[in-house]
Amino acid sequence: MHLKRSHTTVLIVPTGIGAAIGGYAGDALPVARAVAQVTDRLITHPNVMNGAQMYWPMENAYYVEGYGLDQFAAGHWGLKPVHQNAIGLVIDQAMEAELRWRHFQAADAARATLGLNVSAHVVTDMPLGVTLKTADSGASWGTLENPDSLLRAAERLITEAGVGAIAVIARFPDDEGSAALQAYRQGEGVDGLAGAEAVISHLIVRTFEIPCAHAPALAPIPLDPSISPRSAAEELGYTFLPCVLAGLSRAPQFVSSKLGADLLTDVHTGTGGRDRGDVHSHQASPGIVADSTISQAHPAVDPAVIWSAQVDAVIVPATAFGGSAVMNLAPLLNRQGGQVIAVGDNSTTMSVRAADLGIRAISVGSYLEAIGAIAAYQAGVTHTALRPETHLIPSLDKCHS
Amino acid sequence: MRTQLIAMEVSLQETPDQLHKAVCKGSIPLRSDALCLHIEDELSVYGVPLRWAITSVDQATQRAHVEAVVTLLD
Repeated sequence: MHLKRSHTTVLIVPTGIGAAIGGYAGDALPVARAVAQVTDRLITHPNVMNGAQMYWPMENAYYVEGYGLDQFAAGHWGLKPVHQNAIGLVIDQAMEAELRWRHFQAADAARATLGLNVSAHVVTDMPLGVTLKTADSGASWGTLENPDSLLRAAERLITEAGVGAIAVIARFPDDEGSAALQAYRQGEGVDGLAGAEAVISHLIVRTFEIPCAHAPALAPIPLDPSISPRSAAEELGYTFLPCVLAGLSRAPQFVSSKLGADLLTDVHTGTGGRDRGDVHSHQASPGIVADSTISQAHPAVDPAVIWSAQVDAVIVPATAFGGSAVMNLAPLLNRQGGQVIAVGDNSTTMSVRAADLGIRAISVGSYLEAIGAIAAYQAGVTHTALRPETHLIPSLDKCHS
Repeated sequence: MRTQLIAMEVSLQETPDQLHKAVCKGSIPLRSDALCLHIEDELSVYGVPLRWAITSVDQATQRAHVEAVVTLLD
């Protein structure tokens, strides 16, 4: 009888920081596909999964927007898998009629060919006023002139149409051929749109606690035969919406509950032990009632809901440890013998390494090696046993002498 | 509501009373999850934190540079 519990991996490639892999147009999706083969549950975010008109649905992948991922990592929210979400579209009033129709047709195509449930749309009552900025670090950020208009539109979709997920299409400023755009199309530099996209989706997820993702609307740019394959997915047409709809259609819903925090506290304080198995196992913890009636009634103890205490591994670019999700997950994994994996060759504009924050990480050169580290862990093999040098077992006594 | 880009520095070594339980036993630096709370607390001076990241760490001064977007009510 096989008693191994589910293995859960979080794959993070922060957006807008020029990641060599994942900093362009869906170019971390091959990593996600490969990692999904060595873990039972892969939790990742739109920047990894979205490739404009390219996407790859995976049964064991959970598409979690960045703000939701931060809340999940902090133990505030759980992830409840769904069969499908009804999706509502928020359309920026600033979009020209032709661009608007292109996006409606993309949504109609997703309904007709993929069978997705795109059930309503709302045009914002004011232009959203997206402004793009680059910070001193080189990361892209952005702000909105009218965030309340965005939230009013989302609220109407939720209250009047009952949608379970929101796709936002905002009119982004056209780039008339800046050096930054040229670099991006060549697979270099930073995605100048990404930071503002994250602000838009974060606002909705923070306010309504439902899945959200964003597709920018831009005027088509002239053909450039020399663009990088890493950026090519965004050159295919008029819209980046298809991947967003595909992701949102199965994105897990968020479960917010004090019970979720209690589950995490059990683990933090050691009462949950190393067995960070399914929530079922925590139901035997003090304060958690293992009652099937309550289980059904209370989403926080629904065994289908995933909590951060169940994560076994997090994979992060080696220089991008300064984000909330990894900063919350890493101490948990360090204490419980899970894996924090730092990928060296996925360079970014950041310079925050695990050691800078007191995080113990397994340093690997590439995602290939990261996948090997997870496979070894699943096999019960310490990753150090796969290296040629085997050091003596350190003595704790020496530390005190 | 407005959104605003913020840049600030925080110490890696501050140990506010409210975070004492999360500080590494016997060590001065804040554990990274406690540092998250500390950063969000510092950002609350400017508005409600929406998105933030430490972008660099100065090991000599033990200070972290943070970039963030916060929301403010009009």
